[in-house]
Amino acid sequence: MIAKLAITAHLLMCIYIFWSVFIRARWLDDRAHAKIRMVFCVLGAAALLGIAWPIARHWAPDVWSLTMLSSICLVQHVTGAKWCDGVPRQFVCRTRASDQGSSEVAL
Amino acid sequence: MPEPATTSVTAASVSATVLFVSILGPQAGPWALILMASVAGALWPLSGTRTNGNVEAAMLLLRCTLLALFFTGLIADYLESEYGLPVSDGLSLVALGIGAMGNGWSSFFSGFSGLMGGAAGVIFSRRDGGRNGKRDEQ
Repeated sequence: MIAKLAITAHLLMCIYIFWSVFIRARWLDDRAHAKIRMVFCVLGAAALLGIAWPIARHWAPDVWSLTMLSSICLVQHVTGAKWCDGVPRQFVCRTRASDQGSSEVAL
Repeated sequence: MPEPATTSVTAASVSATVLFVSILGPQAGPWALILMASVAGALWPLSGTRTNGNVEAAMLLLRCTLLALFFTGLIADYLESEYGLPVSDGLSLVALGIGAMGNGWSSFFSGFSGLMGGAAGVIFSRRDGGRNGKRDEQ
């Protein structure tokens, strides 16, 4: 019973992390830093791998991995407020020529 | 006494896993990895494309995922029919790569054709150069 609860919590948190990455990737485009795009893709891939892993390997999470997952969920939830109006300015490396008339570097 | 909500959530997740395994049988594990790798690969083109809403972003993600699943399925079927190789976890890397290609197939093929054209140009220029050399010698 505890193992099933742990797997369920694990799956729900992985789904939440993937959803938070999807919401951020929906705002991202080629103006953002490539490193930012890369890390969010890696986080989403890890969350998706976490969804498939209990099926593929009959694996059950332990307390430590659940703690880490819940911490990442909290970080995503708290930082999500910064993304309500789009990509945070610190993550944008350049503006499009169609946006400001030139391809100047913002940061 | 367990809470009813917790029990229902647990039952739903476990029954979904049982359903997934019962449909795909022993191949459920590799195909689950391939499916998730396809979605993970599709995140890269999604993060590089400006979309106007969640629906448009979801459609882009779905399109890239289905493309990756289709081509990975073709490759898996070919490997199984020709070489007797069963579906393995390694194909998830293929699905990841195809999903990450996303909308970049036109640039991929144009780059590939440019590479082949460049290679053909080098080969034929060498042949022409050799023939010209012989002509020069004659």
